[in-house]
Amino acid sequence: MIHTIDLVKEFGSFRAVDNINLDIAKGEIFGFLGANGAGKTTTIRMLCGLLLPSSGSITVDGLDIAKHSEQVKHKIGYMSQKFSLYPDLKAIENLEFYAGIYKVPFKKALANIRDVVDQFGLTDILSSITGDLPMGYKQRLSLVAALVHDPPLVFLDEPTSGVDPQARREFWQVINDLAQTGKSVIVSTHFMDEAEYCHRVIVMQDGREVVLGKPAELKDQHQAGSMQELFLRVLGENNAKSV
Amino acid sequence: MPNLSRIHAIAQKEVFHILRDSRTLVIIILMPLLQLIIFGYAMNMELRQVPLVVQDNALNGASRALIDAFIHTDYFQVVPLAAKQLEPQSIFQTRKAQATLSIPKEFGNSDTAVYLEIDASDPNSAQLIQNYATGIVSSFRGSVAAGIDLRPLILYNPDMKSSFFFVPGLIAMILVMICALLTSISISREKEMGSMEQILVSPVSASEILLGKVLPYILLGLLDALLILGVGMLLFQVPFRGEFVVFLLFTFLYVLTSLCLGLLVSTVAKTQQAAMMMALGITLLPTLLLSGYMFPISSMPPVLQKLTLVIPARYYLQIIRGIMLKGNGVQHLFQAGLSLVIMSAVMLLVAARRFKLRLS
Amino acid sequence: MKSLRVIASFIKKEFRQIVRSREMLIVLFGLPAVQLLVMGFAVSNEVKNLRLAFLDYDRSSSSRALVQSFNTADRFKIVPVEQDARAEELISSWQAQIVVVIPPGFSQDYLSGKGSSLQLVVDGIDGNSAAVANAYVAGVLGEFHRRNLQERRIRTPLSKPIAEVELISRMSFNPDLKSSVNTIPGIIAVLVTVTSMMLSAISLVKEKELGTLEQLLVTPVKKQQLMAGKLVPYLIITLAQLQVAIVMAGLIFKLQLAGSYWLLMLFSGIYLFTTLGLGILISTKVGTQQQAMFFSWFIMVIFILLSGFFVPVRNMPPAIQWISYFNPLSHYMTVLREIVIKGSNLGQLAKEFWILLSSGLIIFSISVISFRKRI
Repeated sequence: MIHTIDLVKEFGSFRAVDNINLDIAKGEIFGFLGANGAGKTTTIRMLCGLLLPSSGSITVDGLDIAKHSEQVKHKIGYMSQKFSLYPDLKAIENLEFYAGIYKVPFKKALANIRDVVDQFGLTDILSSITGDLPMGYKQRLSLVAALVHDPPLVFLDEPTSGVDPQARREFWQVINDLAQTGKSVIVSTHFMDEAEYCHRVIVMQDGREVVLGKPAELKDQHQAGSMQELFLRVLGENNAKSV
Repeated sequence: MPNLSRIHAIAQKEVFHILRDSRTLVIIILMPLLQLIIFGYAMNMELRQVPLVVQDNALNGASRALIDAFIHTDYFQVVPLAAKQLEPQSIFQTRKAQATLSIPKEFGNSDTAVYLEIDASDPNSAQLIQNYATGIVSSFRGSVAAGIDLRPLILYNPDMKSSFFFVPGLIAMILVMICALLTSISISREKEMGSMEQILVSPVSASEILLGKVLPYILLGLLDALLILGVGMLLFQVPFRGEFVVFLLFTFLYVLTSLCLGLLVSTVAKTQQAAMMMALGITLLPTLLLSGYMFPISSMPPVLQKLTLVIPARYYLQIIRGIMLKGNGVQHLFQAGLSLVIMSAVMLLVAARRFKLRLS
Repeated sequence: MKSLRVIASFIKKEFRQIVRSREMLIVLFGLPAVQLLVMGFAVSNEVKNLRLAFLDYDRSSSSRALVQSFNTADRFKIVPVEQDARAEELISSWQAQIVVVIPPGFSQDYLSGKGSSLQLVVDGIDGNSAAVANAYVAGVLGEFHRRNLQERRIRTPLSKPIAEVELISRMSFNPDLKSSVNTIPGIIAVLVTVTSMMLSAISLVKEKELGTLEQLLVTPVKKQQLMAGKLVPYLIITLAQLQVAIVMAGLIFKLQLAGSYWLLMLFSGIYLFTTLGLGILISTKVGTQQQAMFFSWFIMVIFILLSGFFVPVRNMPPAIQWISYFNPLSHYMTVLREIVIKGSNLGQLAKEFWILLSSGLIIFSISVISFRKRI
């Protein structure tokens, strides 16, 4: 679904993303791991067309993002790190608005998200003012809003920060189900236990790839018992190398 | 007892806020200066060179003499128009002239009337044009018996310059803008961002917070006011006839009143935007329109005249114009000062009550 | 067609947001109503109720008759004062704005036809009021003198030395010289400017601050759709406000529209391209809503001061007249006044039409370019 070659992003002399090569398949859950400032968010913002790469190329579903940004955007659902629905609209009005933006008839949009809405138990709160909802519901609603146009590709930038453990599990259940229906889901997180749910992960530091692969294989390679341990170990090795 | 070092810390933080947002700061300083210049140069009520169309049906020496009398003043200039265009209504609609003068055939031979038609869509100008024309015509006929010679003595502002009127007014404007508008915004911003809570859990007292927050604005307001005063005096030769100490005393009182107003707004408004709108609605606009800053209070309808009694700038305007232009001392301004004191006290009481209600 | 649907969902969203926010409704409809009311009554360069005091040292029947002749209309409010007061002290202590001093022997000089003089002391701090006061007093004295002459002529008919000339003046379009006739269209022009500029100036920054702009940017929304989706609602709201203002002007100030309603709407529509464009321009340049407010406020104050709202542009010095030529509000205000008061037609307003049209095109294009660049 996504293919990048030597992706680089520079802000002045600062290299935020350095030579990232990715190949993400259909139906895959792909995780971005790394500390704050490792380049996760910048990479994701480039993948969904919010930032232009300084060099390198990105193709989404066979389309070059630089040339076909319009078509690519139809294939993307994006849930930003910061809550970004209109707080003064009702929940359902937010969904209606985004359906309109994606030129999806509202009925069809509701059909697209029906399952997720049920799963999240959002049916009762749809007519509430968005700003009055508790944080957990806002987060779930953001994900739903990213799905109104049934995109084959979903980007979730730290979707579970500030959410309680129970809700986090629910979130991952939904993400899993989305992948089952054939959507590719790209998630960034700093919860290492969540990384276990990903099909593949990339660990980033200082804009560079440290390791990339399936969680189980990576743990074997580095003799780590958990993702947490793996994470600390690979970063340690990386730091030792660069010194 | 408020602790000085704490107040200092809060004030310093506020100064950082002000300096960080340099664009707003530039506007705050530039705006009054620009207004000063526009008011000083452009706000001129005198009409000059009013375009006048003359329809002379007499075409004799007397009629020419009358037209000359119009031209020789600086007030009118005659614009030529083809005969078929002489319908006053359409002349005014095309804005070719502001008045038409029609001289009848028998002019000069017997008692006659000349007709002046004035475009009164701007009634103030129309009135002035009528006054000028009346003056010209009456001096033209030359009175039979000597009339009454009016010897006007214009006190304090012999050239009747508008800058004398606006410079003190602007100072009143700036002080209320900075002290009421900016403080209310800055306090409600803290509330909105939740940083007020952060401060409230620290051992700082409410009076320390308020003092710390308002001090930088008082300073900024006074500096800006002095800047206007200086530029006004240099550029427009606005006099300062009174005592500077008296000026400072009353200005301090007015600043206090403005701050109380700002405080009151911030206890009512929930968000920055609301504070901004309310502050605009209850401080800036009334000060602009109802304080006598531009429009004389005595010309307003009685209801509005009553309303002006609760506008602090009304009293301060009398005070500052009195001090600067008339050289008034405390004895002349006592009443106005007392009104400011009473107003501050009332607002402070209400604000304090609201503040307590919120915290409990 | 699909593109229209995207814009339609924007419009729906904007209206929902506005209707839901009580503050916004107050700002959009409550505040302008109050402004129209207060300004309609307060903004007036008329000078009325001047505090007038007499110091009559003559105390004759003529001097009393002279004092009586000031007792007309609402121009003066005669304040009683101690007869041994000093004129300057009366003014310095704010008791009077004008003092007429009638010297001893006034009536004797006057009646003998020798010529007499009066001392007029005026508080000059408000230059405009002082000038008007001066003219008022001169007018009253002229009238007083005229009446006396007539009486004398009737008593002692003489052969007329020269033919008398009388000036008869007529006030076109506003015979009662009501100042609201002039200020109300001005206020409406100001309201239209303030509303459209404020709304559009805040529009984008607000989405930026909320984070919703980023969400919009990952969607396939085109920039022109985003811009249209923002501007169309503001256009509609401003025009709605204009209707309310026109109706209020008719009901409260009895101001009837002399010209064509549709011509007025045409000009307003064209003018709004300038103000909405400026607002969007501000919105793309600033970081916070507060800055947006300050900036648009700054521009508006300059626009208003140099628009001829308070003082006719003709009265200003040539350099400033030249600057105000580039002030779109000044032209829109002229148009509004001409149509409302005089019922002028498009031909008579052709110059303003071309100026407003080109200013709208230029500013709007710049804002479109800056919008595309910025986002």
